[in-house]
Amino acid sequence: MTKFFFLFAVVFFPLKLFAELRIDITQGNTEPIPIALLEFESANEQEKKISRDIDKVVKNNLERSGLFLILNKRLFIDDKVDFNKKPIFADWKLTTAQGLIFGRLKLKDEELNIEFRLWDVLSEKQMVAQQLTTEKSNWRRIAHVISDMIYQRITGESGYFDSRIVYISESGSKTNRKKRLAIMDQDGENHKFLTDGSFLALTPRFSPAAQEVAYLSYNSKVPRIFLLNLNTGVQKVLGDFPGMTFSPRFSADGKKLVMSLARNGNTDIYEMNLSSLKIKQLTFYEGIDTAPSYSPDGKFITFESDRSGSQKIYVMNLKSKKIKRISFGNGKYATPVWSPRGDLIAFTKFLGGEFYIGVMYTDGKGERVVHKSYLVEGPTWSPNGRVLAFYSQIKSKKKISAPKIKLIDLTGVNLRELITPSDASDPAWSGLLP
Amino acid sequence: MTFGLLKSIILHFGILIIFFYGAEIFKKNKRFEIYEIPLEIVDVSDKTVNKVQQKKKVKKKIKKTIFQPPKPKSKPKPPEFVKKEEKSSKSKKPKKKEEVIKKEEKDNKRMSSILKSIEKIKSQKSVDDLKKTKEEEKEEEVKNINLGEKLTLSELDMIKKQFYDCWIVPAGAKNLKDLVVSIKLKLDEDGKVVYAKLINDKSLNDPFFRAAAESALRAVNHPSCKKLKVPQKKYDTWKSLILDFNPSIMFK
Repeated sequence: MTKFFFLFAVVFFPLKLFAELRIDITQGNTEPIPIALLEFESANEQEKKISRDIDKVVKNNLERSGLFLILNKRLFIDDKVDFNKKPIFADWKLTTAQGLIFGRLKLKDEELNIEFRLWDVLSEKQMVAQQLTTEKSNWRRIAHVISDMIYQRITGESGYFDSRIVYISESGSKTNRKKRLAIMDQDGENHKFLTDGSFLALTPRFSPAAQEVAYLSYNSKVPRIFLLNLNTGVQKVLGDFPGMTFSPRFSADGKKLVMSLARNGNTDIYEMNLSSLKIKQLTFYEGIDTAPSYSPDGKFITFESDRSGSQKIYVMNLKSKKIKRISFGNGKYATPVWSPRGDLIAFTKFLGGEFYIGVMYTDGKGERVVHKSYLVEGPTWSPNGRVLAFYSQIKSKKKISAPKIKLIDLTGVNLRELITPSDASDPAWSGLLP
Repeated sequence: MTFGLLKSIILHFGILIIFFYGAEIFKKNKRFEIYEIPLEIVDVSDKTVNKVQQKKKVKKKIKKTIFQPPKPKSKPKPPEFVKKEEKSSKSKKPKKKEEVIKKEEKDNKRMSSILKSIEKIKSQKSVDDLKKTKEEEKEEEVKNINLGEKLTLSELDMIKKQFYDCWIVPAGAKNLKDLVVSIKLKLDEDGKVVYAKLINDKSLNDPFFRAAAESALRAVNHPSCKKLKVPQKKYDTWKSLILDFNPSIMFK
């Protein structure tokens, strides 16, 4: 009887009495996270200078990402925090800071030792505590590494600050245009030319796995692909491709290249094994298949083709060889590039006399424009797939501006120009430096 | 004999047929008349009879309502507090009190003292009444709460909106659909967050989820959201909350 009663009570007892009120919070703000960044503690003038330089680079990196706001130091009640003690959070909350970064720096026999901490001010929890040691000359890279650690811990995404961008530097008149291969840090610092301008260099591509750059060169008026090792400076020719229409792209492991070649008036996509230098044809269509790009897992490629009558984007399964169209909007779609994190494909689109940079999911859904201009070309992803670099030209009052490299984050809000010594086009972003 | 009977039967039968036939036609005509007449009657009555009747009724009503006020006019001018008393006691205590007051006109001091005392009693009564009504209201509220009083949509929106300012959304993160963070909150009677705990903490190994969870925790610890604006009467409803921070809808 009691069992029956118990069962009855369990079945019919109003469970709603225990239910808590549940509220969906579906809106927030996309303001940058306010961060208090303190200059790292130092003992002498030399250390102080390095500390100040590192502070500047970290501040610049985090702010340029658009995700962080580095608070003005005038807001701080105290500009020093004991490294081994918990900060007084109540004071830092008054500054509106949600994160607090501070550390200390020691220089001994040209060896730089840095310790730093990142605190969550609102939750009053330590998020990062790291010690880094390097040569004094590497202070800039250390600053990038610190920025990446902070970025990664707060966003959950790996950073992109310790990376480089290779691009084509353009100078001279329209009839005598010099196009040189150049490289710089992602923030525009450490700029270097890689070729002297005696021959035309085009469409560079970074190997995601190694510090190698493949680019198309018209040295001796023959189009050839060169592979340049940035650490050693040695370059080798990958082969002569008379019908080359577009520069190759590396697979994620850096072992293969995918490219389009025009043969007998027909452009198809080919894959090259970099160890054997053997080429394999991937598409067999009597029209134009071009601009291929690997997925990060190497199982798919995306490319543009006119097989449906106008330029659209397609995805090919490399195992089954099945091809699926993914872009269905108006306009001409071109240069699809698979994001290194695998979820999105960036593209350019020409519609109504304007160019667009957009992104869509790999099944073609969720297409959205992140930037438009008179001319936007050559999108390339940051190593973490959060930022796109491209080059653009603006038309104002019938004047067309010189090509410049610009960066924009996925939200399409945070647009920045990279300052280069001369006109710049065709950027290619490296992976994170080893 | 039988022939005569037959004749009379046929005759009567014929008369009956004619009567019924004629009656049928007559009925039809009647129906038409009946349908038309009520419409006319209604129209006419609106303009004439009914209005008059209504006016009479209204007048009667007015008389009833107007009839009472003139009475006090004939009374002597009472002190101000008496007026208040009268106003407040009109409905409750009728003529008897007024007559008592009339009789006591001669002794003003006495009257005033009595009135004062009455006023005191009344004020006490009114205070008691107020207390009672408040208590009753409270009891009613408690009853309502016990019954499970829900927040209205606008009250829910009010709570939601407060978090919109405090929550910095992990924009641009991968797989936003999987980044729904549930946080349990306990609030004191003033709406202050006294306890916040992540419920779905199994996915904390995923750096994206951890970042999203931390962003939601920062929102509930944000100084602007540490004390929520909530309908205090419904404390039982919101004293324990579960907030589901879902960034995917924002970037659809």
